[in-house]
Amino acid sequence: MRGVAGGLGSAVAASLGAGLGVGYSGIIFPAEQGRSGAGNAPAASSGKPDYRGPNVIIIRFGGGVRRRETIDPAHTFSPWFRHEFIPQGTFFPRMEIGPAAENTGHGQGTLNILTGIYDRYADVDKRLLGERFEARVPTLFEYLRKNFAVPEHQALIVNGEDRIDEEFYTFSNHHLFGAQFRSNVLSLFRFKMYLLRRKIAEGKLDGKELAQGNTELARMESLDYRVEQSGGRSNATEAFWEKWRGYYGESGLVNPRGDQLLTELAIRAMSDLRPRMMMINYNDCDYVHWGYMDHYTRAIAIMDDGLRRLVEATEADEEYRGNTIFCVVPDCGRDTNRLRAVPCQHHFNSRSSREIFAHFFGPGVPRGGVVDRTVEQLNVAATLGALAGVPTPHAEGSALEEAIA
Amino acid sequence: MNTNPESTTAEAHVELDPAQLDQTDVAKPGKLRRTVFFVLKSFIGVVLTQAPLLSVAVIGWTYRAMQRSALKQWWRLGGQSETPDGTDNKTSSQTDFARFVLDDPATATHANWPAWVLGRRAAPGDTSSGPVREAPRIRRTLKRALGSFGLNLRIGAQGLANTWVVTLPICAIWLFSWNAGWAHSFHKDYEQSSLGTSTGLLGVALFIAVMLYLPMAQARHAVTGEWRAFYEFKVVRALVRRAGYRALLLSAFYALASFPLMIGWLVPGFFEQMNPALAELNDAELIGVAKKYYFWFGAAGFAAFVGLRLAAARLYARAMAACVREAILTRHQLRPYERAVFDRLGIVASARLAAPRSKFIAVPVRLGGVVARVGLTVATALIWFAFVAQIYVGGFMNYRPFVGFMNQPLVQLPLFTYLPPGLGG
Repeated sequence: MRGVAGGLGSAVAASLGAGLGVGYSGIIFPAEQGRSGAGNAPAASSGKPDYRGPNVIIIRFGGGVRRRETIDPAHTFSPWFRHEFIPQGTFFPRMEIGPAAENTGHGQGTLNILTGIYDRYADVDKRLLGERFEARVPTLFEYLRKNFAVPEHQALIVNGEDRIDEEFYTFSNHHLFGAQFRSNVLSLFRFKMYLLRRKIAEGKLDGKELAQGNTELARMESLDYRVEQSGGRSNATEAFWEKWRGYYGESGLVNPRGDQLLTELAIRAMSDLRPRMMMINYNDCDYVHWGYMDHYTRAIAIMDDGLRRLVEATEADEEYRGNTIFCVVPDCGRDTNRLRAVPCQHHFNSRSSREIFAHFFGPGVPRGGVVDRTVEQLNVAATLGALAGVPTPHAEGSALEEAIA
Repeated sequence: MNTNPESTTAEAHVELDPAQLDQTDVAKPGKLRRTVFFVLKSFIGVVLTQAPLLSVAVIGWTYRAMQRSALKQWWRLGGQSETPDGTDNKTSSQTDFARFVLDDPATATHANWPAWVLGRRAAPGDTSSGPVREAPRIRRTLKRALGSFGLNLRIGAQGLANTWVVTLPICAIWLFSWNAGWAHSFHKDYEQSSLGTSTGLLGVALFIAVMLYLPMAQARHAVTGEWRAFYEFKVVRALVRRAGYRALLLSAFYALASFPLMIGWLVPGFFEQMNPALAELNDAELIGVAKKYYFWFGAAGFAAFVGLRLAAARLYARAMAACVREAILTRHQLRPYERAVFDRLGIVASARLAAPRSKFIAVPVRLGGVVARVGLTVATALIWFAFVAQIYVGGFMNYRPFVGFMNQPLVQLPLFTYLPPGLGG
């Protein structure tokens, strides 16, 4: 049944939360500071203009939320978002995942947002319930980096530890775009790879431990099979992780956890890496797949708080204040099934699982607008492209005019 | 002698006077009548699976049916046994099950399938339900009107209590492990990440161990009519061992029967996808749709529940007869009811003993027996693991708080309905 595999896949992936658990010792490299994160890899190609548009922060308010617990004033668990943030921008309470979309899964929804098309996705390795998808058309990050001189570490996806597959939505297989315009990723998975590399490079592992470390590192790097050389890392991100390690240590037990970790990574990224485009893939509300409604509502509250912190962080930064577009949009909705004890336990392609919303805020976005017409998730990419001045020729959805002043 | 003394003669196809048995051929009811009563009894059973208290009566009724089934199995097995004087002459009791059961008031209730509601009308001279006395009319009327229902409840409560003793703690472990595991996963409590998994595995291991024992123990309780017999571990263990591969087949029957039921629990969660118009129904209308569905679901569940228990009863009867004949169990290890039946049927330890074997043959044979037994046990355990896996898959696909783990209908309370709290359940 359509949508079931997606729901199952996301649920299984959500269950694979991996703790770090193992500490590593390592030397501290001098962090290369700089407003734009000095020591960067050069921009994907020379001769391109600098990007002078607004910063763009996409909040994937997911994995999978209903309108009831988010934007319904009487039942919201995200009060700051609903009562304080929405009035500051243009709000689309009736966004939907359109009928042309085959599935209402997290991976599919994320790529719908980034590419502006609905497509049929299949795991590249044909794993059961796997969600390693390849976009056919470019993502917003690729559009940005192809047209402007934006280094990789300033086009970021901040990803959680439960959905490793989404680490690799950084670029498409479109012949005119692709890996050279990819975004970078901040996640616990990347931090673990960084630690392991450091440990091996400094000779802190030997014998059996070294062999195991090499094997594990090779396995982790092989997941990004399309990146032959740098494995998606740069001096800037290496310095970022070094600073993170210096602050939070190596155990993984000190830093914030779950979706709160994503907020922390994003805020630190704004300080250290200065991303021009960043997507934060919140996901913990998807734990309701296992039957506990309070996990769902608690996760929404955590996202609400995270969103507030991000907005406040941009307001506190001169380069981000008044110069940052926010887009808050779920990857998918959830079921509203009265015959289940937990009505929103899954998102099996029901009407409710296609019902989402979108909110735009920032320069060029009218304040206080509420657009009471049905729009589609594939409109998001073109809308953000229009607001940022980034052409999105392969996106099928059109820009939402109401969000553009 | 402890039997089920009640049976409704209203549902009996023929009113039989035990005093006239020798002169009267036992008349078999017509096929149409039997079919009608089969459908009626099944319908009542399905209805009772739709409410928790009433489904206790289903256990009791099934236990009475199990006793009948075992009795019939023994009657068949006893028919092949040698008569006490070594001749092949078979008495009329051995050729006609109905005549056999009516020969003894203790088994007379099994002339027909047990009743759901009506009590048994005591025939003249029938002392099976105690000394004849002049009870007040109202009491006699109540006993006649609801006697079987009360009996089904009583026996069912005993059966459920025994089953709960060995299964409820395990179900509680499952519930805890699910809750703890996902809570720790959600909160990223890495330090305690093993708690959910380890307790879950413990629960699974304990459940498998219990299920190697429980079906036979339930059958023993049902057939003997004595709840204490459930806890005669040595006897039950001997029976399970003697049952051999048939016990494995019974476990496979459980696993196979539970699969469609697992699907059945999930189907209501997809009603809207199957028929979008259902999303427009109000709560009362949706409850009506759900109740209709669960009635038919209950029919499948009731059939599976009764089928499994009757299969267990036959397995028990066969194993018990074999254990007695092979002197694995002695006559003193039987319960009074069984002893009486076995005496009537001539099921005794066989006079023919196996010729003593040379140790060069006996040792490998014994070793082979141990290997076979271990292999059977492992295979049975794996099948029960498949049964448990379906519980977990079902929990993910459609989590039913508390009851999803705490009640396994095929094993515990045969309750085949569920309304979510949002619909008044």
